[in-house]
Amino acid sequence: MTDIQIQLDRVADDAHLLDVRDLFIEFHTRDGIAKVINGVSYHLDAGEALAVLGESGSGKSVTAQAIMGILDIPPGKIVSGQICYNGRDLLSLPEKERRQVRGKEIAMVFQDALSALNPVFPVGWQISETLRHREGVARADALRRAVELMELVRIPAAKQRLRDYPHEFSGGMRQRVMIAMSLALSPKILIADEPTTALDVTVQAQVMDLLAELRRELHMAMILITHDLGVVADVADRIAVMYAGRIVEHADVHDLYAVQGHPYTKGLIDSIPRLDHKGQELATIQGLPPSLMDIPRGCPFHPRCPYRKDPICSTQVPTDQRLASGTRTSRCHFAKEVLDGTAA
Amino acid sequence: MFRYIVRRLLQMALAFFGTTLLVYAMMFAAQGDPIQALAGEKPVSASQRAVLTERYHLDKTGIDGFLYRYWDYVSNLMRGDFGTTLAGRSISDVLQAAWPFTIKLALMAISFVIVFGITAGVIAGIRRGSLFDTTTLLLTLVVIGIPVFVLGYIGQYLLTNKWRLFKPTANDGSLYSLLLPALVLGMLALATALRLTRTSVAENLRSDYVRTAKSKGLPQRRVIGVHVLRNSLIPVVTYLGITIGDLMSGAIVTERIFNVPGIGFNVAKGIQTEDGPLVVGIISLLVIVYLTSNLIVDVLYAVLDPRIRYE
Amino acid sequence: MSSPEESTTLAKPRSLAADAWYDLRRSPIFWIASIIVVALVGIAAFPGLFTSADPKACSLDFRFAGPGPEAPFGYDVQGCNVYARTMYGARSSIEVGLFATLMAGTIAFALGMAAGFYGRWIDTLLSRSLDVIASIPLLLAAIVLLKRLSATGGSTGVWSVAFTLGVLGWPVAARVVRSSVISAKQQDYVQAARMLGAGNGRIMLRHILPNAMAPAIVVLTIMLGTVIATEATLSFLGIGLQPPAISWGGSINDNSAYVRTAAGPLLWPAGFLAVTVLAFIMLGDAIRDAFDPRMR
Repeated sequence: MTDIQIQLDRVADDAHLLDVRDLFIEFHTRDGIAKVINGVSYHLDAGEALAVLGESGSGKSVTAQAIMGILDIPPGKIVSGQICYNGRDLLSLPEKERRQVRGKEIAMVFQDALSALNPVFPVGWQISETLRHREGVARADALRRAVELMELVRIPAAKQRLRDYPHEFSGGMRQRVMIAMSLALSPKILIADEPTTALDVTVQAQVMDLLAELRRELHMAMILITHDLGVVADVADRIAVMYAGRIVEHADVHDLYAVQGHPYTKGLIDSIPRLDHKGQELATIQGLPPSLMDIPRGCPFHPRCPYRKDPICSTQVPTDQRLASGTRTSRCHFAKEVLDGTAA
Repeated sequence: MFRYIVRRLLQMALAFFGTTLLVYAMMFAAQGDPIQALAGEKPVSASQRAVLTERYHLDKTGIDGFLYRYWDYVSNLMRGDFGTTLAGRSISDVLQAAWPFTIKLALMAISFVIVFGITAGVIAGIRRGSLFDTTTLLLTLVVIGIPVFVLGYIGQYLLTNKWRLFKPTANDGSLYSLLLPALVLGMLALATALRLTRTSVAENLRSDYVRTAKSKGLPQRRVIGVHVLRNSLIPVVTYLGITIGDLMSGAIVTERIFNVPGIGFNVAKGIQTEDGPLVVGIISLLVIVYLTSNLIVDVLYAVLDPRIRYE
Repeated sequence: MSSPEESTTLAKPRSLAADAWYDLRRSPIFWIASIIVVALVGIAAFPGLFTSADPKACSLDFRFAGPGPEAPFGYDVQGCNVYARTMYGARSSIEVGLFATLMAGTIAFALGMAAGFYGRWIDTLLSRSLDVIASIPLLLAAIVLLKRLSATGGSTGVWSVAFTLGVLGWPVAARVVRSSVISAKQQDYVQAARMLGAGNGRIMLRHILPNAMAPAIVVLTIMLGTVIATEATLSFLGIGLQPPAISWGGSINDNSAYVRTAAGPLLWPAGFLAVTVLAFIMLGDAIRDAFDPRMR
């Protein structure tokens, strides 16, 4: 790549609403240093939806927490990287300005609404708190707005439920309260961290649909963090697949479902049970995710990879390979072969 | 909420009969000479014996007699009649003279607990692992380990004898003279409340709703001052209710050491003069106070924690 | 609040007990407390090894006499050797503490396990009785019961004090045993053992008892400290161990009137008492911290 091209890329990057660049995060624990995020980059444009996919421990939630600025430091430590929102690096902002971004520009919905909502305050109080303390809205007005927000997320009899406590709601309704709360200041970006994992399957679909609708209605950008490939397709435009603190593949949703450019993604897709493959044995990925205290040398996925070729895979860390269609990338030495189905 | 309070009231009634029966049975279980049991090793005069026999219906025998006498004792308690001392003085009169001292002492002790214990506990909980935290942890451990009466004598020795900051006795009932006894009395509760607050705050700081509150863009002082504190204080308030019992046992010792003529002082005196009715009478009262304060705390608990009300 | 998904993959698979022991070995508090406890038990078992003086040989000639070769702590109000009395006082304290705690522990395990395991009316009955006994502060109940025992039996020796504190002190431990039995009972592996046809006795001994052990030991260790403190308080109030029994609480009481003129005879037993109680509480605390992964 020439210098001019790099400069052009910079300018283009600056146009992104959110741009995470080369983020490295460590956790300093009793047992040693865990390298949780090892050079993650992704971007998000206004109104766009990105799905971040990965197993537990792949670092998808930690990245989101770093974007929100709610990572616990210590034990967490942001080693290097930038998180630019509208061209400003959030990581270099003083806490006071950083706080203004939270909720107002970027808001977050958490996994388990029962523990994420404060158990001792009524939901109306919790939703209106943001308005009262961020915007100085008077109590009565804030409560009226809270009812509107609850109606927006389709909670029946919103006005009557204003004084109810989180434990009095069903799981799905509780998650709706959580979503209503995150929408209070009309954020530009909504980060949904496994928003349906704690819910029943039937309710999962409803909440997912609600999120998709809200995004269209309110023209929000969204980062959907999930380990479930099944929920992604209808909601997201693009997918970033994470493994051991890196993005191993990045592609448009439909491209990725059609054909995969990384053995890990391929393994994930193949392990989804499918009706048309009835009777066949379900494919699984061999082995376990690596310990973040001791990430394998070379490609972190090589011990589990069916396509591995020594010595290259076990010695050299693969770089991002740009694949045919535009923005598609894969961190695999044999990305093109995997994509074409010619790898063995 | 209403059902919860009714249930607590019923439980308290049960506990009231249980505890009074227990106290009564421990004192008067049918063996030996109950009058002698009351008087300890002192000789009992014929007139005292007659009065006590009459008062406790000792002429009735067997389990019937025991229950009959227990019922007498309970109904007297409920009428506010705690009996008479061996010397014939009404225990209610004794209490009337004594309670202002003990109430003052207990209120001052509780204030120390709330002002110093909870504040320091919150700070230690927020700065877990800091110098302040480790120091207070160690200090509170020492305080919890030292029995109240040892603490009392050390305090008396140092502050009244060596440094002469206080008078060794506090029988004039002035607030200043009660300062040291109250501090000694409240010390154990202070240390325990501090540790409890610390643990509770530290635990709540790690809970998910704190992360939510932060992600709403609320300032740190609101996250801690409202969200964390409101949750952390629930177990502390419950503890403060239980601690009233400790304060009353502690008062027996503290008031003896500092010669505060309060309720505990009279128990200690009753033990020394082997005045059984005085000891049992006052302890019955203390148990009732304790049960009542527990009830109040239970209701307070339900007010503080909405999850409890619907159980 | 380190993200839960991280901690699960980072934790190495160690058993809880092994993990706890790993923690304990690194806790200075645990070692200090253990050494003190061992030393105290040694003194209590063989006080004669630590002093050759007779603690009961008191003579008013030595009233408040200063330290001598036989008496490094000097003499008290009755001319007794403070050092010798402090050494022999350890025996009463440890004896009362051990007996009462053993008794409370036995009652607590028997009733707590029965209530937790069988549930139903046994549980209701136990829980209600626990509530009642726990509604009377320990010291107050002990005063009443001891008053009664001293009046009828006449003796207020180690046994009656230990009996009193054991009989009144078991509810805390029983609650802990009961709740850990209930939580163990619902564990999958216990359910599985039951399906495989293991009898009640076997399930209780092999699966449930070990589960209740750690929290109960913590509570009982701390209780040992509390019992010793309560015994001393009772003796101090003149209702616990009575002369001629030698006890720290009694010594403190004897010399309390003279604290302004001669503090030593009071401060020495008081210091030993405080250190003893502290050691047991610290020991229990250290074990609890080691077993409580939440506080890591």
